[in-house]
Amino acid sequence: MIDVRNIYKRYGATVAVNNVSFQAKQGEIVGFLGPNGAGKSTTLKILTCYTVADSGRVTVAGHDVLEQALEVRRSVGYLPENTPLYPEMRVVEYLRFMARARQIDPKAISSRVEEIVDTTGIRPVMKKNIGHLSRGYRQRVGLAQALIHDPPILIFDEPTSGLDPHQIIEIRNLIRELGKKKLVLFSSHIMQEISAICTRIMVIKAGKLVANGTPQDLMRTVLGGGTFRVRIGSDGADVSDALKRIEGVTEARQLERANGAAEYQVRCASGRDIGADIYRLASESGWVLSRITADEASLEDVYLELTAA
Amino acid sequence: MADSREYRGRFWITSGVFVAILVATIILLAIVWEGLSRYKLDFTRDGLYTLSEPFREILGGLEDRVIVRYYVSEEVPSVLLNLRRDTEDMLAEVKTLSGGRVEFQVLHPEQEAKKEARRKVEEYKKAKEENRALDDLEPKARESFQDLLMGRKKKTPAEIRTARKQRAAAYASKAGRDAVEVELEMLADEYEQTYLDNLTEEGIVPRRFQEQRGSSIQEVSFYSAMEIRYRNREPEVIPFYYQLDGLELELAQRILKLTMPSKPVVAFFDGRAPEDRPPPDPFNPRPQGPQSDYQGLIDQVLRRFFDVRMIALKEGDSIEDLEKRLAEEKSEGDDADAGPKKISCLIVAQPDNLEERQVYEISRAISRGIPTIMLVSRHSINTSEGPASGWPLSFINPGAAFDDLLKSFGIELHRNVLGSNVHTSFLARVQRQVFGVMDQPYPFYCAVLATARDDLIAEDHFLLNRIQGLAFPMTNGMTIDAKALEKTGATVERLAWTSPETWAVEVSPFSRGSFGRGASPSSLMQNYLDELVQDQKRPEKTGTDVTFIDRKELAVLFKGRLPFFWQGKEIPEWKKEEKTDDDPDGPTGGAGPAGPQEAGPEDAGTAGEPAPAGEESAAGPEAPAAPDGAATDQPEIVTPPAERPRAELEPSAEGQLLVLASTDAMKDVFLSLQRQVAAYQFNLRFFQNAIETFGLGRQLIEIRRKQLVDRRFVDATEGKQAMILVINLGLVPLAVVAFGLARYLIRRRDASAYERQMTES
Amino acid sequence: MGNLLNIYRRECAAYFNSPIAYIVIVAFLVFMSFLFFLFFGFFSQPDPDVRPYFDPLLPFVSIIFIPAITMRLWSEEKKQGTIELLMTLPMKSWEVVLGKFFAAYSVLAVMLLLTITIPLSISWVVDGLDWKAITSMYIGALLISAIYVALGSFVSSMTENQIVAYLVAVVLTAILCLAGFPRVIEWANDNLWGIGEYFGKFGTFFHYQYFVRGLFNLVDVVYALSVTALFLILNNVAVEGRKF
Repeated sequence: MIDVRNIYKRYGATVAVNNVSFQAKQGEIVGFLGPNGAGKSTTLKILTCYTVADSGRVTVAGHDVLEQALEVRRSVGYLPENTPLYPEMRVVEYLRFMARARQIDPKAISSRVEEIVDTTGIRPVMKKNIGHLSRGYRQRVGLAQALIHDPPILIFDEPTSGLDPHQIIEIRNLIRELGKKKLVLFSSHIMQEISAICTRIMVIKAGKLVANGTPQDLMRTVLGGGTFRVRIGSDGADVSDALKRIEGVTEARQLERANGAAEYQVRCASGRDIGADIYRLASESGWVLSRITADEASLEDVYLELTAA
Repeated sequence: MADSREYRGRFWITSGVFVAILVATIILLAIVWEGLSRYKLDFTRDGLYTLSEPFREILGGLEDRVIVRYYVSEEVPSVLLNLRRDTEDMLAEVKTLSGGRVEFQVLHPEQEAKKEARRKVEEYKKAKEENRALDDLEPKARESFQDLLMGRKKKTPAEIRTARKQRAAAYASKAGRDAVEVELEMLADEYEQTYLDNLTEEGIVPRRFQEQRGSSIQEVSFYSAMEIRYRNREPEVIPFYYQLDGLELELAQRILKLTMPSKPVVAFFDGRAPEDRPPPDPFNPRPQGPQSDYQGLIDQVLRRFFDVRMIALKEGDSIEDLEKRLAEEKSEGDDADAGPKKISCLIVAQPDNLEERQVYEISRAISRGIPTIMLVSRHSINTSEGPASGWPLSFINPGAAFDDLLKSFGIELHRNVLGSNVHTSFLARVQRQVFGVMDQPYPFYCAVLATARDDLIAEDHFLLNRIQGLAFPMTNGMTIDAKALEKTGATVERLAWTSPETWAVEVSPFSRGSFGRGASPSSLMQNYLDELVQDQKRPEKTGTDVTFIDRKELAVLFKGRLPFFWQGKEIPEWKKEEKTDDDPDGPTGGAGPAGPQEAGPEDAGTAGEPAPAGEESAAGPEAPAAPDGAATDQPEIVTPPAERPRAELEPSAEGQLLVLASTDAMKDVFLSLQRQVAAYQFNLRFFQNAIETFGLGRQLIEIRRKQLVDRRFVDATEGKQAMILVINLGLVPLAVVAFGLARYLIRRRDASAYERQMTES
Repeated sequence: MGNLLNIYRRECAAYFNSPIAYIVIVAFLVFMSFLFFLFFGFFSQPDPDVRPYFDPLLPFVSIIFIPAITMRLWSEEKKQGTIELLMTLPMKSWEVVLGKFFAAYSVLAVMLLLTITIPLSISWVVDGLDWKAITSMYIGALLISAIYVALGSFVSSMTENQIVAYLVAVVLTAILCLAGFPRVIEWANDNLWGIGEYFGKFGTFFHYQYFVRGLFNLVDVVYALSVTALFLILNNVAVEGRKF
């Protein structure tokens, strides 16, 4: 449904998006991850025809963003960053305005507004001025306007920023629900929500797409093998060096040290079980191996790994 | 890799094309604005900017630039507040419609004078430094009135300079200032004055107005004049005007006059011209010898703009003869562009003892469409000599034939002199012990006045544009029977008439035994002059038996198909001179005028009726030329008395005849009073208007004076004013606020009701 | 057309559901009436005419008030970020530009038409008001104001700061208006190599004065419409060109 090929966009001297390509299809929930200023928003703006890439080709729902911008816009529901809304309008007025703007059949507008008001749970504030709403309601109104024309593609820019955990969970549930039938593409710089709901993650860094895949794929490709935590009691000998000498170990560092024993993190290449090697090393050196555990790798690590300077 | 360059390029090009088209349109509009701005609607009720079609034609036909200078003081008196603005608007409109041919400049004379003075002083200083002659640079000071009175000799520039230097030195030493500086300041003042004097000489004079300044009332002088220039001809001036409504006509008149290739020809017939006038000589138009009563009018006013030809209406000096001469002048051709010269106006002044043939000539001219102005009455007075030498009253007898001609137009010229309570004065020359002979104004009951104020003139008539009153000294008054005339398709427009307080005085040449022309029946005049003029008493108070008479016409304009009096009748012959009295059939006799007297109007009526309406004016005189043109033109060929040729003439549809019931109205003795008595100024202007209108073509006649509706406060009481203030400053803004508040409250109530409902459920 | 109307309705609501429109309109009416009646002493005039209301009062006051109406049109959207939503709606940018323009123009029209109470009320004490000419004055004022509204809208689309939008619009409107002012033309003729004659015709006042005189010049109508269109297109370029 979304096909992005080699887009490139520059603002003055800064390259915002550099040769980004990806595809996404219906039923996917795509998380767009990256630090602030990495080019997430720019990419989303290109997809929603708010701005134009300098080069590259983008088709959304089968329409070219340059030549068939109106069709693209019609098939996209968009919630920009910071949820911009007209503060002097009432919720219901705003939704009606957006419904008309999205070219919903005038006869269907009323029922559609009723429907969306319930879906997003903003019925209690329907007649309030948007300017008087709380952050959470504002976010829901923003979502409501994006959903009002029931588009096949939804693009949310940082939909959960500034919300409390409870509200975040609600939004996540909504996105998860939407993702069953539609293509949802949303950006965030928060790992947990991406990992919680995305079927696919794209990481962008300095305008470049550095990773693209399911969370599992990412962990596998980015982090490779496993990590072990080892607690070894030694008499001050250089345990780290010894650990590093084990075949397959890529990294070993000391984490903490107490009562003559220290904890080490040992990372190794995939496909090797180094537990036995460590055990052997400890017994050969006369150290006390008091614990050995395999560390569960997190997406946080992946993210940090990918976006590290 | 796809590129959005093409897409962006398309956007910029499309936008650029649109912007370029619009910018080009706007620039184009600015360039052709003048040409296009004639496509417009005039939304003003008075049609202020709808210049009449004839004026547009005049403007459209301009070949060269016409420069209009509007001299207007910067400070406009409050009564004329919008004058300058409206005038500029109007001039802008004229400029537009002329396609830029007419340019106008707005000048403030006071500032211009200062500017000019500054420039001149600089020049003077420079000349002095370079030791050049200063005489030419001296301001041309007007001779002081005192000097003139005392008969002092005019000072030389050097003398003036010395005097100024002395004055400056005297003042400088008193004020402790630099003498040279003071002298230059004095010089600047003089230059300034000279500039304004020059304007005055051109006829551009300020008027004085009373102005409220704070608590005091001041007098301010205000210029509002126009000078119209064309090529290097002598400029035309509209001396002072304050009403926009007549501006169009005045401008048209001036522009037309200035741009004419040659001066229009005016034929002037004076019924009492001095006998020994030499025959007209085209190379020496000014006659020698005794002067006509209208000499000043002719020389000083008419000749400036017209080619005035005196005509005696004698054998060899008839209208045809003049026309022939004009045609010859044309063929000699000094100005190839000019159309054929023709008589554009005939003036018949004080017809006296006209013979039949002369009346025939006049009648024929009128019916042929030559615009004619008649000054007729049965009495005339010469006030220039004063009562000391008797009041020279003279009797004029236009002649039976002329009376009949007038009757054929439905005019009856009465026999008695009219006096009126609405009258003006004249200057009587009186002997004073100390000062010698002095002119002193006397109210003159016989100078009947028709004023706009008393509703005695047709104010809106185009000939009376901005004329507030007309004086008719020694008038007899006319009554008009318009019915007979209007049947023929001519129209009568009454221009001036008598007031209800008018009486008739019988002045008969037979009453005291003195008669004949040129008599000085001062005793006769005594009857009423003593009581009415010299005692300055109103008739009702003197006990004089006065009966007010019905309204009499004083000035009438006839237009259209004017009947030819001699239609179908024998053409009268010229009266032979006494010495060549060999013709047995005397040309004039009692039977001559008797015949036409009865048949005239009817004949004329029937002659006029069958004429096709749309006939060209030229067809009139030419049509009859075929059957017996030879006879009309050269009556002397036909000698047999029994078969005298009969006159045939199709009256032109464009005939114009203006009849003024006073011969004195335009005489020099009265017109020379125009500085003292405004009415005579108006007389002159009216006369000029008429000749110009007739002489400059039909276009002017159609330019009507506009009817402007004045805005004024009606019943604007303090209370109403306060009310209006309250409405506009209070109620309307409050209503807007109330509307906003109501909207806000309704919305809020609606929202809170909803919220309550939501929290309850 | 539906889109244009939708935008127009929203913008009108934005004006009239918030205090902006009321503040501008009330201030305008009070200010103008004050100048006309009290400051310039209408009742002590020898020629009681409404023309001074339209010339010279209205153009000068318009210079101050019309930018106050237009300043929020785009700047506010930019500031709030709503422009991002607005410009990703399935409608053409010119529909938005026109919708906004007409909404601001409607506020102005309401403002101008409310002044009709002035000729109406003074006709109570003044005889001989020329209603046809007054109609022409209103038509002229409405046509020429369209230019100012389009200009203000254009300026507003260049910045997200309303104050800047207001000030720049005031300056540009003043220049555009006064270029056609007779005294300015005169001055330019005298002091700037006689260019006033030519440049004056680009100024709005040059064309406006004919309407005020009671002359409905076709050229002046075309001028007003062309310049309005020019600024609207520039506005569209500013809005759409932002994409690149």
